[in-house]
Amino acid sequence: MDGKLDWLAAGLPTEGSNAQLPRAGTVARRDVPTCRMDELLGPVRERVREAGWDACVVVNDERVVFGLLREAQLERDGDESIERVMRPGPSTFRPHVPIAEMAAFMVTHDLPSSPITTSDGRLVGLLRREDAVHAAHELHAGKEQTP
Amino acid sequence: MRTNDTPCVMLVCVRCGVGIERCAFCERDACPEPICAKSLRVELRESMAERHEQGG
Repeated sequence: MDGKLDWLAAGLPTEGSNAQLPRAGTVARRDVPTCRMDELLGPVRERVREAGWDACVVVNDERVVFGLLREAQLERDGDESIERVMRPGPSTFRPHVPIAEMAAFMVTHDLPSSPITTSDGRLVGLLRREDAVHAAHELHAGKEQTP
Repeated sequence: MRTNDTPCVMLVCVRCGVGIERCAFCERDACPEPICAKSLRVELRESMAERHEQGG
């Protein structure tokens, strides 16, 4: 571990007054469905739908993120390979990013979800815009109530 | 010599003004508020630069 930022970027526990603030890594959903590049879209889509999701993260055996399937990609021909249909190399964000910041960016850019990864690219979870906005609102409301 | 008649549409980062092909946040090439990767990282990192109570 090289320094403080690397520690935070790995999503490791922290102490102090800021440690309790919700961040991208704490709000991201860790139960997001994942798949591998060599799978076919059809069975993956079925698995994703059964789990009640509209997105799936493409990872390797070490859970390093390679791509992302959102609604548009999941709608494609089920006989196509994941490698062919996925959005390769999606923008990912570190777990320590404050949730208000992420929520603001996601709303401004109309982005439904963002993969949260450690600095070496391993999946932490998928941050959904509605979760980020909800957490940011709760944080804001909590600050207003604090004397 | 031009090899393609399609005009090259270049976005401009709203933070630093550098030309970019697509927004680093949403990855769209038609983003209304495009930001370059460098500025995005600065934005997200700066936002956590709240002074620690113990000065650490």
